Amino acid sequence: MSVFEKLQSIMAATLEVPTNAISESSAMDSIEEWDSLGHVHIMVALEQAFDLYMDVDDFAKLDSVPAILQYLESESVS
Amino acid sequence: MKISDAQFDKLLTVQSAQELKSFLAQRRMVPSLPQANTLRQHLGNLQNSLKKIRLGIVHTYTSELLDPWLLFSAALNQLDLDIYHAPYGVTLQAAEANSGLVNHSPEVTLLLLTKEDLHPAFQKPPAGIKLADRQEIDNQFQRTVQGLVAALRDKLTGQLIVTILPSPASPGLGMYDDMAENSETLWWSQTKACLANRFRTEFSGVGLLDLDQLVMQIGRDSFFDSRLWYSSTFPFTSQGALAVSNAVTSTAASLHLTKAKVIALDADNTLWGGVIGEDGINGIALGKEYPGRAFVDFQKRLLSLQQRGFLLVLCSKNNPDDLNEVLVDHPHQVLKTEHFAAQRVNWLSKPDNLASLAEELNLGLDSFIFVDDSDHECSAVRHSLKEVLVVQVPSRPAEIPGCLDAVARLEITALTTEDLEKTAMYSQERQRKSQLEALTETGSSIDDYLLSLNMKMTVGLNDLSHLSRLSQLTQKTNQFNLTTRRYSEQDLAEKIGDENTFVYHFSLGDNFGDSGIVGLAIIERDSGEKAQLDTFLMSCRVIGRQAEQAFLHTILRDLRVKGVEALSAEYIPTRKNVLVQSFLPDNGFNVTVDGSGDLSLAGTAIHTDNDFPIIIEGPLLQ
Repeated sequence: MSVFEKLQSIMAATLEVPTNAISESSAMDSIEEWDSLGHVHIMVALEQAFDLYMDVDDFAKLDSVPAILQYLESESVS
Repeated sequence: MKISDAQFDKLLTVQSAQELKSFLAQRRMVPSLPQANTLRQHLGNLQNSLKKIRLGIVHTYTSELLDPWLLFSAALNQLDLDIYHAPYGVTLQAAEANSGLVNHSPEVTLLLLTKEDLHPAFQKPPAGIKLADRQEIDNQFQRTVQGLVAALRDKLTGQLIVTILPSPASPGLGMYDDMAENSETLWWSQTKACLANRFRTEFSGVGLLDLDQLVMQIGRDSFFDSRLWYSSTFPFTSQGALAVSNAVTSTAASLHLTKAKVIALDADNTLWGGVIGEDGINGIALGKEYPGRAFVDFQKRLLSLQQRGFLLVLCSKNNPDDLNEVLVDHPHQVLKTEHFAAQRVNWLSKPDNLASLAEELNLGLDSFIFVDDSDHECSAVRHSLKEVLVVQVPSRPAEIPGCLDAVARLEITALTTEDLEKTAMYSQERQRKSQLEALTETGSSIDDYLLSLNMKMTVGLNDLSHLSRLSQLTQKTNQFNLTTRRYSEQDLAEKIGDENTFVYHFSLGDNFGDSGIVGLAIIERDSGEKAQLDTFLMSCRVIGRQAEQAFLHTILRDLRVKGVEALSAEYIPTRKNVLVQSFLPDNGFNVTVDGSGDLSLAGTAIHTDNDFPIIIEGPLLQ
């Protein structure tokens, strides 16, 4: 499973949307459930699923799937 | 512990909420947020009829982030929550008529408060507060909480759960705090004790949920997330949020699911390790070494459950003599003969034995929790008695003592004198039965038996001091109950406060002991002369002693004194109350086809005390 596929299934389960609602270009403003509460839930889910301990300052920056994928790469998540 | 992908796939094959819940608790597994959501959906597909509960949340920090954990935890307890979050802040607006909260009419309301919001003194480090000033701060703090709770209590009918967020940091004086004269920890625990005492004595249906207990359970670092606190004003980690949610949904479950009353226990490999019939009294594992010490601890936990008001009964396949030897002679056996309200030690099937235990105790099988280690017995009971909750004893001895911790229906929100004395009452009942048998053998009649008991009934009216027992009776009584209307303490307090409502109760004593309060009747007066019998119920413990007639006639006499001339009554049939089908016609009511009826008090010959084998006492009769 690629990192995107894993992210996709985590985000879908977290936001309770169908898996295909999350694409490689999804962003906070393109998915209704990804509101400010949904965003905190996604941050918590990322930490749990990828064993990370994130910085509060990163929370706001990770507002799209590309930004999250790039962050995961920089954290050497595979 | 995290749940690995492989473990998670296995969890998705469980077939019941209880199974999943026990598994998570025993292995100390904490699901991630996406796992929790997925498991909730899985449970939703398994269970079609979840009990719906409306939850209201009053909060001074972000509470919406709790939702997925509340919903997950509710699903584990076979509940479905409809959650309403009041607008942010502790204001009395939430308690105004027509507020969103009041309109939601929550069955459970959770208050998420912080010390800082309740008193400005707590916005600074408490170690700086002079000892002499504490009392005043405490008084103001308690008045604020009390005012808020009173305002909500006035408008909301359900249970209120009050929480105050513990400090996420260790005490200002650090490790020296425990030794200090101005210890913060000591001050806080005294404040909590005062609050709890106020809630218990001045309100009904209000409980303090002590979050410090949860912090103790999982640890401060695992409970609080400072990053979410600073960025989103949400204090909890996922594990913390789940712990809070479990406490809330357990309270909801204990109030709104059928009350558990009986814990039916297997013996071999449940109360001790090994098989008594094969290993003998010296061979079973029960004592100071592993694994025997785990079983000793389990027995101690069972004894505390008995003290919490649950009946313990034995349901095991053994030779009675073997088992008795352990109960009487084993030096490490904690549960003795007197702790069991009834026993079925024989080679019959467990479902048959459970059914006969239910009959002996006069309790429904849906109030039973069956505890057994065997796959075979557990599935036999699950299969033939669907209403019984089955808890399988874990195969690892170290996990056994905690195996009932996660059963929400074993949580209680009040403790009454009757709860504490229940087992003794059942043993008195057995003594009555043997007296009856002895008398029948000598050819005496049932009337002689009833007279020989020297029964004394005490009837009371509108007595607020018994609120929690009276509410409990409406919640728990299924068989001898004309209308099966359930009332919270709050509902009953309102009825007692209303001058046109009369709430009668009685207790019954005899040569063998006192039953405590076992009967309740609620009469609503419509106009001066007419009244409705809203509720008439009696605990099955005192059935067959003419107490119901004596109680009814005492009430009728009192109503006549109050100027009531006609009483109408309803019989609302349920699956369980066939017992009272003919109660109204038997007692002179003119009954129509639907089972409801009227009684004209003027035209009815009301019995006097002498017509019953019971001496009737009480303030009403002076």
